[in-house]
Amino acid sequence: MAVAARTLVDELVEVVGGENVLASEEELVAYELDGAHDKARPDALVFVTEARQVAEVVRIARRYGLPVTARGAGTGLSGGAVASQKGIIVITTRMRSILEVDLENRTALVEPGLVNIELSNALARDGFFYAPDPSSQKSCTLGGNVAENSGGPHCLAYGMTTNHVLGLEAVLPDGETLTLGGAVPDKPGYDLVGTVVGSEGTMVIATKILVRLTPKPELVRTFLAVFESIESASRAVSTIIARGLVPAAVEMIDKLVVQAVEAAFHAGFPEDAGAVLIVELDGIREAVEDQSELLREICRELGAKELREAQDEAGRAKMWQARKEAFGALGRIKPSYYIVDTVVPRSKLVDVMSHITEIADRYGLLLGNVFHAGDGNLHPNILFDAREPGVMEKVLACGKEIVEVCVAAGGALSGEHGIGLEKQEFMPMLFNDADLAAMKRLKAAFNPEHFFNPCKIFPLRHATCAEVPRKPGSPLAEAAW
Amino acid sequence: MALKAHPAELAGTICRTAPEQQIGSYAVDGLTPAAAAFPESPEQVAEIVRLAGEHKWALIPRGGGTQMALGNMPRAADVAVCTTAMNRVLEYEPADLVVTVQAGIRLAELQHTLAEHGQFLALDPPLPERATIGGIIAANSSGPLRLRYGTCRDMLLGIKVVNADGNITKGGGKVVKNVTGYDMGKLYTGSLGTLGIIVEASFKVAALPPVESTVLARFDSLDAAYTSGRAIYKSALPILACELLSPAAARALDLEPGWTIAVWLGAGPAAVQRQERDVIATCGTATSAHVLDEPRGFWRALEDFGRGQFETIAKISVLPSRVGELLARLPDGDPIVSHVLSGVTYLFSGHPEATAAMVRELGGYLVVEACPPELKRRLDVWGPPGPDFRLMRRVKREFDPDGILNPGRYVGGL
Repeated sequence: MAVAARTLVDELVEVVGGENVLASEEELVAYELDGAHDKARPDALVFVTEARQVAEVVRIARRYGLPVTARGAGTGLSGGAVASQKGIIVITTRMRSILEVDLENRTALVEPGLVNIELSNALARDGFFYAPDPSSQKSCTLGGNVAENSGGPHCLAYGMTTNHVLGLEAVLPDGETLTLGGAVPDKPGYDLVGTVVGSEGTMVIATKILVRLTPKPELVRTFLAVFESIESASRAVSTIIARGLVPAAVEMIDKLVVQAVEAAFHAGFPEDAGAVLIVELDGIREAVEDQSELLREICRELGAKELREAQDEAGRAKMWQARKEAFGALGRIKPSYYIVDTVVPRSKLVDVMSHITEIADRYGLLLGNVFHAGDGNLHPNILFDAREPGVMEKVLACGKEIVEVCVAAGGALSGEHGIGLEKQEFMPMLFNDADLAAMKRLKAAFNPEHFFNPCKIFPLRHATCAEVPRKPGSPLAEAAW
Repeated sequence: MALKAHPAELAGTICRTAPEQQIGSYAVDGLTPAAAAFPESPEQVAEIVRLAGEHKWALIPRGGGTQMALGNMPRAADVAVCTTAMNRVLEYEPADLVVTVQAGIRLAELQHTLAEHGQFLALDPPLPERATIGGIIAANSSGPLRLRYGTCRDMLLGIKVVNADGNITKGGGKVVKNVTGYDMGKLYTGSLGTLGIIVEASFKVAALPPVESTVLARFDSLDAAYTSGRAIYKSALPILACELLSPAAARALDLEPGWTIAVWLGAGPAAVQRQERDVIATCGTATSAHVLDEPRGFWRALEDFGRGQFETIAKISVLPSRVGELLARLPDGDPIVSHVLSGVTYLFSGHPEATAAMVRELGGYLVVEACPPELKRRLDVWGPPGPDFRLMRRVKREFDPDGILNPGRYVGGL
């Protein structure tokens, strides 16, 4: 085994250079986890800096019978970048250039390791931004966004990652590189780009991404609406949507989380509110004025305690910091948290929120809600102390019950974090064997041997784990799967 | 040797079939199927597909029949599977802005239901009184509103199909944000029935704008019109649509002949007024620019332009920044309707082959959406497939290994 591993490392070093290969236990331990709880150590990790290196590493991995898992910043929350079947992690964080910007056609060609916010920052001066804005956007990468079809608060008006990816250059599991899609609209043939976005690294590894750019709006107004209770805030959200108002974002933060973020960020959120809504309106001045008037009307009708507006860019930034960095502030309440990600129809928000509060109470667990209420994308975060005996089982059981309630209300398993490892066993809640078989057929067209990111998305009994020919003595030959 | 049962007889045991004397209306490119079946449920569709698998029938899925000219000639056509008997709204929650329908519902009928609640499906393809949701998805049909709202892929939330193995399968869901499993909706959109027969679909819908308005500007030259269109784009006003019409197209729409820009606005009253002012100001080089009374009729006519009238219709896609070059090189006497800011242009004329070569030079695609069958014998209506075709072929093989769904009609003869 030791001899085989050294030869593998030699070959990898030939491709990317010694400083870009990690193979020792100590070095690899940092890459066992993503942003959540599942962990596994890969056999080796390779930093790539050029697209052709990805193809070469993939070909080497094939020869050794080792699966390949792509990784960006590792901020994912469903285990997508965790090498649960070991093998090689290809990490793209050192491949992060903006290759081309075409403002006439509002597109940009970028490398997968580019950090999400850096793209918007680079375009700001020209009056553009990249719309999908996950809360982790200060660290997450575009490649990861493509794999997970990431969301973010502004997806309410602007759409998800899949609505902003026009083309990809990608390495396939057979080691070939293909260009999919492009900037010219309506390319004849199957929408391969659309099928690949959100495929969680199980179909291709993107080496270049062609994205759509969005012009910055003329006017942005960010409001904080204060409510007595989660219930009245939820009712307000449902009413906003039902009245046809489509804000750029509607986020809810409950009292527990407000208190934590106030202690951390001092955004001036009222700590006695049952829940607050951040509502952002954007567009041309006249449209924003119309929308503001409708928002005020709705808040009045639904008994908002207060509706205040950020006075300037600094005030707005403070509000968003409190929202986007809320998870970090949760550490003040309990040392650990488990972010549940589900989605429900907006008309069911009031009922579902009350139901999940009741579930958490029953388990004796604290729940901190901070989520994309406008989309119905819930994040009821379960706060706990991992040192408490038996707490992890309770947390996972509570999370599962919450997901079941959301599915029963007409929702889905994930609004934006993906299925990965976290929810693979929940897939039968929504999809029967025939549904999953059809998805596996799609996967088979790209990745028939389950060589890229094996054992993800599908329930384990569906056997989507690696079936690459194994070199004797390779780790995979010895693995349980 | 046993006689094979006639497809109409066999299909007739499952659902209603068209009488023999009407079967000619279900021909595709001159090829008449042996039967046309009208299943009333996904289960009946599944039974027909299973029969097709057993008997090696070539199935031709069909909705309203408005896009049957799209695609290459089928290698075979045994049974047309017509979805128009599956035409109900299954679920509609106006408060969620989500609707679920059977695939055979006509778009106009769906719009009527949605309008009762001040909502609409933001798709405006041709012939909505006849076109079905399933057909619109399968053909990836769109219209001028794509500029603001996108196309099918941007509003389809969930889909149910009958696959070639006779299984009913679904993907997606009924919520506006969803990353649960692969995005099967994107796979089936535009697949022209070659991977499955669409039986149900869920969409997110939009609120009808409180006020709508249309600005028409007529120009003496293509260059002036195109430049003004691009300037409107740069202004980033939230316009719903912007069309550029050639003089022949303008004349056919009962407008003063000339290169014409038509801009569709929809918002609150103040926002609409502001946009009217700004658009007219941007069209400073126009010989005339005004707000149109009664815009609804105009847009309906534009959306239906040329359908059923012109035998040869080509859809040309180029980078939006190259539409000017494209239009300058098209024969200027032909009717041309261009979604100028989206990069998609429709040409209604008889000679797509010459144009196709020019379009390829511009880095674009030309798809012949309709033409006489003789032309189909000479050219591939989709144009040459690209290097990613091998992936498409693998997808087709996975989903329809025996080639019973629309064989030969798709890109690369899939």
